[in-house]
Amino acid sequence: MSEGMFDFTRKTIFWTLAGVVITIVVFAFVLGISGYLNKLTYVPEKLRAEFISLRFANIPECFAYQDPETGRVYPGIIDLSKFTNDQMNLSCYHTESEKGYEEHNFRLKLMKNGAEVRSNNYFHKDSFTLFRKVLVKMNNTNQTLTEDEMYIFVQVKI
Amino acid sequence: MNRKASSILVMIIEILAVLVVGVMITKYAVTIAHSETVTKINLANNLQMMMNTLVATPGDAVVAYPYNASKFNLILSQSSVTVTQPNDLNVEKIIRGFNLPAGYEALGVLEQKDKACLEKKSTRIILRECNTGE
Repeated sequence: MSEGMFDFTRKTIFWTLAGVVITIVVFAFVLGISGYLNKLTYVPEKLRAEFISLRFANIPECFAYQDPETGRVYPGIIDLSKFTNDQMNLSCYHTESEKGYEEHNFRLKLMKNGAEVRSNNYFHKDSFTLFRKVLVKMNNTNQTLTEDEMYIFVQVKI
Repeated sequence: MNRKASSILVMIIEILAVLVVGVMITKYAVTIAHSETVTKINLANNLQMMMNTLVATPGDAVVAYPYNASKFNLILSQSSVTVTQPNDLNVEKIIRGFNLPAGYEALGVLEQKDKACLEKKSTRIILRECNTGE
């Protein structure tokens, strides 16, 4: 092989390798920056779920007890007569029928009472659980409140 | 072309190639550093969480966004909040969704105002400019 051919081959191999290395370096740099941007804007899923789940025990559209005479809402007191799947899905928290599994979905359970409700796209693929101490009002005529703990099973995304 | 000339030419091309890649990477990094994308995303995330908190508050309430939002346009709709800058393309808009309970309404547009407030009146949540003292 002549020296000229040798030079040509050597340079071809060099430039091929250099091209591959430069491409890898550029991709690594872009990925590094994207990763850094994601880190700057990261919000923990538990925090998002915590904010969404605040409504369950605090507003009458969900399960909070509301005095029928005065209209006063009692945050932290669960009205057991409202603790149903219909109340959850028709009034309190409803996700899209088709792609709602991509959003947060919940199953709520009163541990002492045993009552349980779930949102419309909940499929038992729990990501984590939140806990909330609540009082439960059993029925409208009886003024008795019982202490209970509400477990909120959170399904983040399927 | 003699060997010395061709090797000098190749060296010049190599240096130019490295300079071009270096300039491209630096330009990309500077564009990212000067863009407001991170601020927009954080603003949209914060407004989304503020909406969920307001929904969970029985009765009436007002909450002010604590940072300056004068560079951005904010749009609150029934199921999402959108943060944009003037002349943004569609792909540059940041949108965050939320689910309102039945009977709730959310609306409001704020264009480049310093202070953004979310006000809840019964089942209606409005995005508006904060009044003095809020």
